[in-house]
Amino acid sequence: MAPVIHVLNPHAANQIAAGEVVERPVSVIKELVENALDAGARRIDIAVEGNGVPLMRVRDDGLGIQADDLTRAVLRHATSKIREIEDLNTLTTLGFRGEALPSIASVARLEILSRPPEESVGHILRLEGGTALKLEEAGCPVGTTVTVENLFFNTPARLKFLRSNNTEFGLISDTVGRLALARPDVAFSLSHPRQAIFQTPGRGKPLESIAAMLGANLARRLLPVSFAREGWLLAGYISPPDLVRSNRQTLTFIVNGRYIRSPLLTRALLDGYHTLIPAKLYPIAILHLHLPPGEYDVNVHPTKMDVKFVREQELAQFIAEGIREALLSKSPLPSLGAEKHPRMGMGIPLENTGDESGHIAEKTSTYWEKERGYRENPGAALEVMKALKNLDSPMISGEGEGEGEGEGATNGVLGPVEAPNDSVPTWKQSLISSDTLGLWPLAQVFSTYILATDGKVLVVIDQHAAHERINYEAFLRETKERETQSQALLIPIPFELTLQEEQIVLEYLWALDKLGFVLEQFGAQTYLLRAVPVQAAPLSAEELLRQFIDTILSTQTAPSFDQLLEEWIYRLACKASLKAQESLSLLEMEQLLNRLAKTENPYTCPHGRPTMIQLSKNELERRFYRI
Amino acid sequence: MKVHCSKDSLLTGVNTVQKAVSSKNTLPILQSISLKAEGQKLIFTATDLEIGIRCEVPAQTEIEGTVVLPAKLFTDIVRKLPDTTISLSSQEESIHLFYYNSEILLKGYDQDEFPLLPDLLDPTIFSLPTNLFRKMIHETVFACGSEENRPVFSGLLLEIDHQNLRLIATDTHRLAYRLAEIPNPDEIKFSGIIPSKTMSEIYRLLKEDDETLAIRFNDAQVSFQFGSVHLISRLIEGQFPNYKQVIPQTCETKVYLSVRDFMESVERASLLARDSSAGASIVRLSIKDNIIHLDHTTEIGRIAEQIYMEKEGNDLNISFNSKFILDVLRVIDAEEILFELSGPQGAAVIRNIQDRNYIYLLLPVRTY
Repeated sequence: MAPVIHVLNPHAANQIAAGEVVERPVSVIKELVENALDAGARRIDIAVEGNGVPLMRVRDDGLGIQADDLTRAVLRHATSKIREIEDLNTLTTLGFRGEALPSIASVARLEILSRPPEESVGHILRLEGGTALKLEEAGCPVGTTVTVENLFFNTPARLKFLRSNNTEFGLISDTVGRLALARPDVAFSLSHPRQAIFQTPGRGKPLESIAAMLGANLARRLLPVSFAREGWLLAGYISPPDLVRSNRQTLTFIVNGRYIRSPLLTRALLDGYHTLIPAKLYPIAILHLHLPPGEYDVNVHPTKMDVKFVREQELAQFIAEGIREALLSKSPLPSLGAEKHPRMGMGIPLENTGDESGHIAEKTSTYWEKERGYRENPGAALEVMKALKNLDSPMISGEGEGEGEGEGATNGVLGPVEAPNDSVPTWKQSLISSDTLGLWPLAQVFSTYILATDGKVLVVIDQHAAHERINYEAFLRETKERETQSQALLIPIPFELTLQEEQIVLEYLWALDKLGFVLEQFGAQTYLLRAVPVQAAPLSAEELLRQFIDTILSTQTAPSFDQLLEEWIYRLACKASLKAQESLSLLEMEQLLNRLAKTENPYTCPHGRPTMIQLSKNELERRFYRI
Repeated sequence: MKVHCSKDSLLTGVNTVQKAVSSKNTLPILQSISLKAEGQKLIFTATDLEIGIRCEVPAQTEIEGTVVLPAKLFTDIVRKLPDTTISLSSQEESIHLFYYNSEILLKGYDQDEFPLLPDLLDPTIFSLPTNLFRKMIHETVFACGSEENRPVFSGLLLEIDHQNLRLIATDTHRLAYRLAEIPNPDEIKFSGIIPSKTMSEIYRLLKEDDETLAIRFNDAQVSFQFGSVHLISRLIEGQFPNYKQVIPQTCETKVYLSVRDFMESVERASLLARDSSAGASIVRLSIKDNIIHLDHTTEIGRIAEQIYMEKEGNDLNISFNSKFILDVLRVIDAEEILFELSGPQGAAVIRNIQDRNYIYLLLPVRTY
């Protein structure tokens, strides 16, 4: 009988391996740009035609490749980045697998043109379907230019599954954008014959890259994060709680310069925003995390998008704390001009989803229509660089993002940036000091809202939301401070667990005991619940225990009692609070404001809705066309 | 049907069957009351299929017959009727109510759709004095649980064997047990879990002057008949926990104390519990020599009380959910109780000194 199992020829093996690395055009761009970054490029120019299949070209001004190395560079597992597997622990480059070039080469026509700075003449290597055609001398600037043509010409199956040109190019621009966000010190440009380009200045200022990607107006509103602890550093920009999006596309995590996806980091970030933004909405965040290389592993998947962290829990907590600190130290009030219900994704240019167009559509009052018409000005869409100059200036537009960014969307990539056309004080200036709030009540309107002022801005406070926040924090404190009380059961409740749940219960028996649950093993995967927390009274103890286990399953941490009871505390706080349609005397309003000022976060109710919005003098003047 | 009946009798009828009318149901027929004129009686019936109540009131029947009317509307109308004789006369599914020179026409349902209350076939009958049963319900029903996921705790166990009739209720935190000795010449044996709603309804409907209560039962249902009322209920399926096992036979400390003193102290202490907090109010008892020091500290304040008592056995400190203590003190028919304790973690027993047939068991709270 002929042998059934045989070794694949290298060509087939390469194509299969390429399937993992080169899934679609954007994967090629990602690999090539990362190579360029690893080569120390200061400037990276990316050109794409169509959906990337006809042509993709990445040009850098990095180290270049010597003629001898050129042929080796396209061999599988050939790399300049590591020598031993141990080198991964000290890895500082983005790549290391030695798979990108051979994988791309096996499914496309590849051309590498390169000249190291010390050589006077460059070399060009042409390959097709993984076979080197020829290597010859060629004139070229310092650096490397990789051209990929006819992608997937020999794998029609892949070609069939590609999406529309717009989708594929959208993915490319999204990825290039995130790579640019990861490396503000490198100048990126992306060009496309039919569609406009975007570029970042590469001057090492993160905010400039963000402005190029998301629009300058939006970038101005972001809050800086800077938080360090024992070798960890979290830096970057996050949106204030009133600037949110309905999908998580707006979250960019960069670990040591590498753009990654991480459910862990997403969760930690959202933890930081807990109760500050409504559920199911996401903030905008560009976060750089710096860790010692030994504390994480990117060698999880060939695309290196997923990362495993050594100290997951501590890291999550570190991030949540960092975010919390950044938010609470500078929590600005939502201004009247600010958006309410964002709909759109990240404003990666060219996808025609201009960052603010979604919520603009909702502001359909005639006032806003007029306002936009008034401000619509073909000349307003200045060049990126010009607008960027104003980023650091103190006189930037605090209001008006809501209207300002909408028009830009239709003007292509350069559009979102608008010259600051009014000398509005920054939000920082209009920020009311958070220890006293400094507000005094003026009047109550509609028996529902309190008008107050600190002399600089007019603040409208939702009395229910404000009272709810006060009560929520009080109840939360009570729950946290209360000693554990455990009610013994006369008739124990049998509790059946799956093997996985049993492991969790055994591991967290101490935590359960602290909460007041007494569990006793009764047989295989069966336990007897002998005592339950007294405070569980409104909820069924079994449900609480299930919830406890589920929380550990999904987050790997034991929830505290106040977390388990959170929903209940929300409800209590809501019930105990003033409702709309209740008249208040000035004295009562003053009391409410004083108590609100003493809360940890006076700006949102526990569900993340704002407790107050503000109208600045400037805004009023603008609306009366005084300025 | 044509029948004359006083407004009071009509009101008695609708009020009696009220609790058996289904409040939320997709079948409108279950939200209705059936009225049947038969002999010199008007018979009201309502059922939600879990519990059914039938009640007879005196009436002058001219033509016998049945109508089925929407319960809520008919009840509201009856309440507003003038205090006089009302004549009811049916025309197919509708009914005319005449009083003085006025008239109300009310549309009803097809009487054939109304579920008949099952008559227990070949049931076993057991009779006992009404007042005794009423008191037994009062002393136990409050200890039932309300959790829907463990239905056996939402009912009371009724046990009859030899000369003993027992009612037991528990919600797993505490247990109330009541025994009555009654003649049982036929040596009837029964054991079934009756929904607490049924028991509360019987308690509500039982009148002081009803003399005997007849209990009929089969495997799935139980019926109670007293006065002119007949109530039938399903039994809860499942195994009631073995209550005999959990009642402690010995104790380390015996405390004799006045119900009133104890109740008033605990009531005052529980005022300090904020109803806003998810927690119950926990009172700490320090039993030493001849004094119980009761103290309770919350976010609002602190209360410290002393109750004088007689004690045999060890001193101890123990905490309880004040609700579990107050519930029993409010229903117990005694001036003094015996409080038996077995250390700070052991089950505690409250007994009626005058009546050894009542036992209330409660478990302490561990604080740390």
